[in-house]
Amino acid sequence: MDRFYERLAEVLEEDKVGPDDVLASFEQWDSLTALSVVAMIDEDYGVNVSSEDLASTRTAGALEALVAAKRAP
Amino acid sequence: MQAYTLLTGASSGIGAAIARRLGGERALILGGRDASKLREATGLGDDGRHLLWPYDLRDVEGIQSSLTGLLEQHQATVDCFVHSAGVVKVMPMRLTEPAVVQEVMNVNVLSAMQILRTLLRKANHGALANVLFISSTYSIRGVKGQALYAASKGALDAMMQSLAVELAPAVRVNSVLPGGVRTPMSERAFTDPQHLEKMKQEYLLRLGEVDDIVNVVEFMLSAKAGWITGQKIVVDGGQTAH
Repeated sequence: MDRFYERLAEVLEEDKVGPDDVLASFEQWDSLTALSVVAMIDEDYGVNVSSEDLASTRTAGALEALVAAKRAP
Repeated sequence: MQAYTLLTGASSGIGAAIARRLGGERALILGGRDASKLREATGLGDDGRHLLWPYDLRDVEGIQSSLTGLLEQHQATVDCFVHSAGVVKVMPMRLTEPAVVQEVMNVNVLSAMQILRTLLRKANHGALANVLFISSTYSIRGVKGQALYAASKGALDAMMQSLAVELAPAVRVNSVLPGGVRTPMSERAFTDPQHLEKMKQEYLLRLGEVDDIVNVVEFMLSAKAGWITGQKIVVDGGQTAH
């Protein structure tokens, strides 16, 4: 899922995003960026993450785990 | 020659519902990216009465030759054109790359121009009488993250108004501006509990359904709307009233 972190970094305009990074700590993190992350996940992984899901997800790693769990059959 | 109603975006959402409603009384040309999806969504296209036009409107360059070919092949003309095809990309302005802007503008606006260019040429034998754009209330109210989509729908509405003047009295040209109704395009808003609660407050009458929009489309295409042109018809359960 390296690609996941790369795409997250693009949306957040960061050089690098890692699993332990707290989403709300990024300068560009706001409701609209959150929506863009949701759209990115839908487009790239075919997974529907709700804004409630996202609100209860603290770190980039937790978000990756959520996407992985939702992708599991 | 058989006269048809050309409907873009017929394979999902509002477009598919328009197709299902109108298919009984009108011969339709159903536009969408994929022929099997068009058949599946509308239940039409296999009885010889309606025509399918499988075409990806992102490719605006090829529209004229493809549509002209279809009309010639079937000895068809188009008297009504309903542009329901549309894509939405919700994003902050800082992420709107040129390719995304081009895709949205191609499907939502430029394709309609190329279709009209085709329908107003000799190939259509002066048959065009009615044009209806499915726009959005986002063209008249500000919504965060919707600048690109709003710009495309605003462009559509502005084009509509000038075309109404250019083409009168032979052609009526109008836009329908739906509020949010549940379709695959808006599914996320309707499944998000927070957003759903907000919408329940905003839509004064009730949450909208696709049929609320199709009713008005049916009216606008009918002779009963024969003295209406150049108008933006808002259908939104009162959302933009406050």
